[in-house]
Formats: sequence, structure tokens, C-alpha cells
Amino acid sequence: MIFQKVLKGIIGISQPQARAMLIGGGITCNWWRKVNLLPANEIPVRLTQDNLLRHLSAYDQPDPITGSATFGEMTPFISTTAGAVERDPANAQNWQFSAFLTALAFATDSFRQQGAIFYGYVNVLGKKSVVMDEFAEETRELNIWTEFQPYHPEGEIVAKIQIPSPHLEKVEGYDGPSARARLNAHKLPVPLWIEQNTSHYVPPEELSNVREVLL
Amino acid sequence: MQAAKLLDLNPEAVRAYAEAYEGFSFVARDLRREEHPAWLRANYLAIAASYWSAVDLERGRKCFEMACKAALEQAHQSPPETASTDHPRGQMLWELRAASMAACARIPDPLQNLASRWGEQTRVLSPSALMLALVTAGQLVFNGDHETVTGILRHLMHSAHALEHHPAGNLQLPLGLFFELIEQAISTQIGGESRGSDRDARFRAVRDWTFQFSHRLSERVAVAQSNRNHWHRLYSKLLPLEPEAICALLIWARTLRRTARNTQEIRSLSSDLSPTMQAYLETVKDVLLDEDQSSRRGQNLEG
Repeated sequence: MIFQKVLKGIIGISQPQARAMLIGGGITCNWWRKVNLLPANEIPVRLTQDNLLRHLSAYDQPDPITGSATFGEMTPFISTTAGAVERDPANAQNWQFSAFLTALAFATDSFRQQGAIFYGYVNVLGKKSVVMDEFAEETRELNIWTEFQPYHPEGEIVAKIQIPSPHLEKVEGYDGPSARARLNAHKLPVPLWIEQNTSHYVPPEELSNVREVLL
Repeated sequence: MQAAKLLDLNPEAVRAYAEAYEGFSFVARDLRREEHPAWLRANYLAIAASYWSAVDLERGRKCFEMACKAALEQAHQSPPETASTDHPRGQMLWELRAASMAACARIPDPLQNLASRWGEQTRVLSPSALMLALVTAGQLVFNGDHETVTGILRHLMHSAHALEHHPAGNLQLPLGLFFELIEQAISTQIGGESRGSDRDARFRAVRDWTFQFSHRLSERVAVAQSNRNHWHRLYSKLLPLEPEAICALLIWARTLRRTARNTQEIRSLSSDLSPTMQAYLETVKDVLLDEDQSSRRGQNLEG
């Protein structure tokens, strides 16, 4: 198992809302936000490869199973990014897409609104494990997810149902127009606010499988 | 601004992405633990330059200039011998990219310095690199001393004759289309002022090439535009304004000027072109306008 660090951009959330997520329930999927409590027996039924591919490539299209207007409204998945490398055979080289820029553009609706970027990690197996909600899917890894993905440059790592608070290190709030102005001045965007998860965050470095001797 | 609209892009969003990519090329190193490589900087700057060209031509030019410098830096860092029979040397590919960006940025020096060395290296050129060599060296056909460049271009085309139908570059247009363009430019320049039926025949050839290129260009862009997220967020491999196409159209515009009977003939031809081609011509017109102003300044000094 690998602890994969990820970024997650969310549009329009305030600092108190972000803090509540960071030290409370973590990041939950849209389905959970619509239906609380989630019917536990339905979770494995909804965590399917077809649904995952809908989440990736047909997010804005009607959901044939639930009948909701868009699949995204009731998705059991949570999109995060870790960046991506794309092959460019015409130019005989690879291009890199930045996770930070992808998350920032999402969080601020292309630099037009305020939003937040969560920094955290998910657990991945290096194999498909769609039905197991405790592991995320590395859909950006083309050796595992071999289907064509139109949005592959977003570098998606798909979490399921919830990214719990202990996995979330911090959250930064950004104002889209200000971030854009900073970049325009060749400077890194500065967060409006930062919330650190000092109560629950468990650094993945502490969980690596090295056992110390008893002294 | 007009170019962005012709390309079905929201000018404000284009400006936001142009600023973000240009700025990010300078600050990305602060986010990375390892060294920020020059190729990545050249990549972000080329993306930004393409976007700027659709809304602010002067910023597009400056950004292409910075991208050119980063690409040259990468060329000097690339291992000199990574050649195989299928792929060009890393160094040369980056030099070619730098030269195409230099042409878009209206800076002639890198072109002149590099073009003379390409003639001997055609054995290792891929179709895409060959196309870049043609459209960048082709910029020099209309310079005072054009004989050397013409020799290089003819050598490039002769040695790659078998690749005529091969798709090349990000636009994946057949190499033969670029051969045709270069032939027209050379014959116009070597033939000098022509009159009557000779000029009519040359003009017809340029016109036919124009419609063919415009049609192919629009097809390629339409495919990229069909995925709206890609087109707006720049995930498409095709940039809104590809440097290689700007370079080709700069050669085309200079050839057209020398073959058309009058400006009315040029205008009537331009008005029938696709919106995509019109968007490219917005950028090309700006480059030529700058060239005209420089030439007028030169004439005034001589006078």
C-alpha cells in the first residue's frame, strides 16, 4: 500500500466551513451530502467500475441508475489530484501538469471565485480495488486504468465516500482574482487563510512499515 | 481579442489562463523540491504565449521570446547524442522549437544562427522536427541573402521526399503541405517580380494552398474544440494558436504579398477563410505590421 499525497480544490467554501471539515467529518462525497445517513448496504452496489468511469468522463450527464439530473449530484466518489504526465509523441517528449495549478483552477472556478485547497493523502494499492471504500483509485495511472480518459491531464486520484479528518493536513483559502494577480506578477499565490489540522492529522511518514526494536 | 472570439474562447478566461501559466512558469520551482527544469518552463511559457496571442499580441510576443530562451537553455542541457533513426537528437528538437518560437516573437537571431546547421542533420529528423525546420528556416527565404537558406530547404525536402504524406507536428498536417508552401515561397522569391499569366498561375497556386490549409486547420481545431473542458482548460495537446501554424502562415503571407495583383485580391481571398484561419491571421497581421514599420524606419534612415 502507498500513502499518496493529494490536493482537493473546492469552490466557494468559507474558512469556518473548511475548518469544520478539516477537524470534523473530513471531505465527504456528494451522495453523502444528499443522503445522510448513507445506506451502508448500498455502498458496495454503487462503488462499481462503470460508475467510476461515469464519475471521470460523464460527470455532468444524467445518471441512468439513480435518475438524478447529473451523475455528479449523487456520486459516491471524490475527485482529487496529484498531477499528471502526458505523452506527446508528435514532439517526442512528455508534459507535466501541475497538481497545484489544477486544484487552484478548480477551487476558484478558473480564477473567478473564492475557494479552498485541501492538502492530504489517500491510500492506494497499485491495483484496482473499486468496491473497497478504504482505498482510492489511481485512475491517472494508465498501466492500471487502461481505458481512455478524456480528462487524464487532471491527474485524478479518486477517493470514495469520505476522506477522513486524520488524512487531511491543512486547508488553504484562495481568492481567484488575487491568485491570478499574484501569478501575473510572477509570484506564488498567497492563501487568504490557512487552517492546520493539529487535532487529528496523522502524518503518513509515521505509519510506514518500519518496526523499531524494544529497547 | 478578436482572435479569441473567432476561436470560440472567452477572452477574459483566456487572459486568466495566460496570466496563470506565464506566472506559474516562474514560481513552479518554489513548489518543487528538485530543480525546475528548463523544458518545463519552456512548456508553460509556450502555453501562455499561445493564449496571449489570442488576446494581447504584444504580451504573446514577449512570452514567445521568453519561451524561446528557455527552449534554447534546454537545448544546451540536452545530451548531444540521444539519437536513434526514428527520433531527432534532443538538443536539435529543442533548438527547432526555440527557433519556431523566435519566429513568432519576431526575433531573427536564433533563426539565422541555427538554420545553417540543420542541413547536415536531416538523417535524424522525425517528420515533426522536419516540419519545424522547414517553417522556421522558411522565414529566412525573404531575407536579402536567401541562397544559402534556399539550398538548405531544398536539401531538407529532397532528403525527406518519401515522408510527404506523413502527418507532422501538433496539427498533424501532411508534410507535403509544408513542402508545397516552401516551394511556392522559393519560386516567388527566386522568380522575382512576375507579370501576366506567370503571376496569375502563382497566385492560383497560393490560393489553392490557402484553402487547403485553412480547411485542414479548421478540422484539427474543431476536434479539440469538441471537448470544451480541454479547449478551455488547456488540456488539449493542440494550443489555440500553434507556433508551427503561425510560422507557416508568416511564410504564406509574405508569398501572397508578392504574388497578389493588389490589396483587393488579398482581401477577397482572406474574407472567404474559416474563422479559425482568420484568428491565426490576426496574429500574423500583427507580425507583418511590425515588419513593415521596421522596414519603413530603415528606408527613412537611408533616405
